[in-house]
Amino acid sequence: MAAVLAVSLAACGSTGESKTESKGEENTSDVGEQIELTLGHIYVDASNGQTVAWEKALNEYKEAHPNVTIKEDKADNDAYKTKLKTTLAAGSAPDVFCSWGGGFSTSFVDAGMVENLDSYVESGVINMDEMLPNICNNFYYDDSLYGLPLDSFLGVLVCNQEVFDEYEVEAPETLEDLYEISDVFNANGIVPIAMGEKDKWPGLFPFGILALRYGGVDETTALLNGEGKFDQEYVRKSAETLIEMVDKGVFSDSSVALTNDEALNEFQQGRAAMYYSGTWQVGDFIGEGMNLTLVNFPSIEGASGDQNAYIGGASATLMVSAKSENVEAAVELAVFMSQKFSDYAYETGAILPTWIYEGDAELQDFQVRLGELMEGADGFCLAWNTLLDAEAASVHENCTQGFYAKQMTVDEYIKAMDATR
Amino acid sequence: MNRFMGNKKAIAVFILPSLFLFGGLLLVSIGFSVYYSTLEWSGIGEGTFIGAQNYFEMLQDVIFQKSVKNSMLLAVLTLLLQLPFALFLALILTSGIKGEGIFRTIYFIPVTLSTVVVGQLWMKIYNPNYGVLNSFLQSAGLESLTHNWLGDVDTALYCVIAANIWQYIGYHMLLLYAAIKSIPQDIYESAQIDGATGVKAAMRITIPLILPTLKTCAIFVITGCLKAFDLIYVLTNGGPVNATEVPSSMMFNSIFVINRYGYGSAMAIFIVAECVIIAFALQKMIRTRQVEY
Repeated sequence: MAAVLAVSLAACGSTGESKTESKGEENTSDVGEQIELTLGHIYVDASNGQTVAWEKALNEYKEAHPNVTIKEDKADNDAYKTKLKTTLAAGSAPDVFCSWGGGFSTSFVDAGMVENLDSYVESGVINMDEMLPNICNNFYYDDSLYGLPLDSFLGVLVCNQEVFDEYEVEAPETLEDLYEISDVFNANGIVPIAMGEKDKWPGLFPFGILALRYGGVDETTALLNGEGKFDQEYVRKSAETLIEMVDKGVFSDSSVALTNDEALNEFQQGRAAMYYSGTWQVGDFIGEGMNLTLVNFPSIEGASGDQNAYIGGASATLMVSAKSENVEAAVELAVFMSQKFSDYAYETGAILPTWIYEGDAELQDFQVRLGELMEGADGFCLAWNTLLDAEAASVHENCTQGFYAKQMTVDEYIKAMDATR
Repeated sequence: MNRFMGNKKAIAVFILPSLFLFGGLLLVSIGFSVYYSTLEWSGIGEGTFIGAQNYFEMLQDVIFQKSVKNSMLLAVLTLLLQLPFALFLALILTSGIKGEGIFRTIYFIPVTLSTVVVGQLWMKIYNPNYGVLNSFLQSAGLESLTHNWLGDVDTALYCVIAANIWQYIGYHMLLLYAAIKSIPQDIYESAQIDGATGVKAAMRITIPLILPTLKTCAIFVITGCLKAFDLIYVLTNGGPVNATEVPSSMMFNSIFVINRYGYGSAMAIFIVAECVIIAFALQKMIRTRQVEY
């Protein structure tokens, strides 16, 4: 027993030593030194267009840099978030890792775990002009850049045109239209908007867009960034309208029991007529041969906010660990992956681009349509759980789930949110 | 043997390895958790010392109080439903029926399944659209009883409890089965002479003789339910709207979702203390003599 313990202690000691040795090595990838970089990411679903693009970009990097061994540390979205926080806390985070801007990464940056990228922007390793303007807005902490963009998304109402044609209704332009067509769908046993609220985040899209309709992009962004309290007219109106939508049956009664994947399934099988979320799945839907109409969430008559604003922007980011042994090589890898992923995933229609696209691949119809929608937009705002700090985001998610479960009142929500300020 | 038991030095040396393991793995980890529970810390970087404030906040948190109630409800209902049923199955299996071995294996299979698999299985059973439960109720003409099982605040906890009971019946059945099998047959034979067979024998002889094992099972059930996490995480993740929160899921949420490592550690210590106290209390309450055959 004692021998086993002694051996294991010795083993721990020796791995510690080798770490200090490798720190003295060159840390750019141009010299012929063999270096190893760990890459943490969430692209695990082989059927997803984003994963295909990610692997293509990664393989291209590996061929161009034969002296670099990339060790991938990948996990599904929720499991990845937990894993990332654990490895960051333990000081053994991957050299380059996916993260999310806004409130999610605040604690990482504050603890000095993330590499400050300002010096790389100045030296030209990161060329901001090659990226779309303002795309990195959510990755600045204390006016310094800490992350590179991965994808940009738009919140669109995806309408199954086949189902719409079957019941002879049209894509809704106002909230009243939405209520009318919901009645038609419910009368025929079709769920109007598929919603997987068990996962808590899908339900934030309708709430977020209502806030934009009643309050506007500037007001909402200021509130989410910490200014003022939640007891505002437009927040109340948004919550009231969401409760009204739930009561009128715009979402299924069992939305709180379904995961997002199950809701997607409902939509893909034609049991739901619409799906309101980010553009991530649109490419996959089209790939399966669905006939879709893409529109913005309906406008609200008499509302004083931005009637053609969208939920959207860039929230996923690629960050570099400040504790990396090969920081410069890691930054190079991050820049490469950010740019190439943007190009390739845009070509397959899986994402909206974050770098200026200079290729000449032919765009699919829906991509042209998304481009049209973006050009006519009043403004964009990310979902509330991205911009708020972790605790407020959690309260918001739980309360919103409560709205869908018909268990939460507007007053309770406002009180709970204001308590976090 | 007596010479060995009298030699205190020998005893000390042989206990040392277990002491290292126990001390290193358990006491040191718990010690660290107690220290962390006195901090306001995000888990990364530096934390600030705030003494016992986390504990005060925790005890006043309405949702935490609900989670403690939920875990106690889970423990009590599981104890009242799972143990008697496990005992019943064990008694039947040891009464010499045909296929004893096969049934023993079948009842034990849910225990061998990973909790994630059990969770996914029951999620599909409870699915409001195509789940087995609602489909069965519909075909039996009881459509009014169909529910949004896991999505309804009123039914979600009981559904989780049902899945929990189902998973571990086989485990307790096996423990009780082994205990019953170790009772020597002569006792039953002499009882038969006195006219006690079947149910009477079970009630008057078997159950009193396996009381130590029943007590062990009860302690397993209660402490297991008080610290239950994985099934709840998979089935409902504490939802809907905190209806199925238990202290462990709140602890997980505190540490990994809202980045409050100190607060989460306070909950962890609460769970440990709760389980230790209840285990001791049960031991004291159910005094049983060690039966020597």
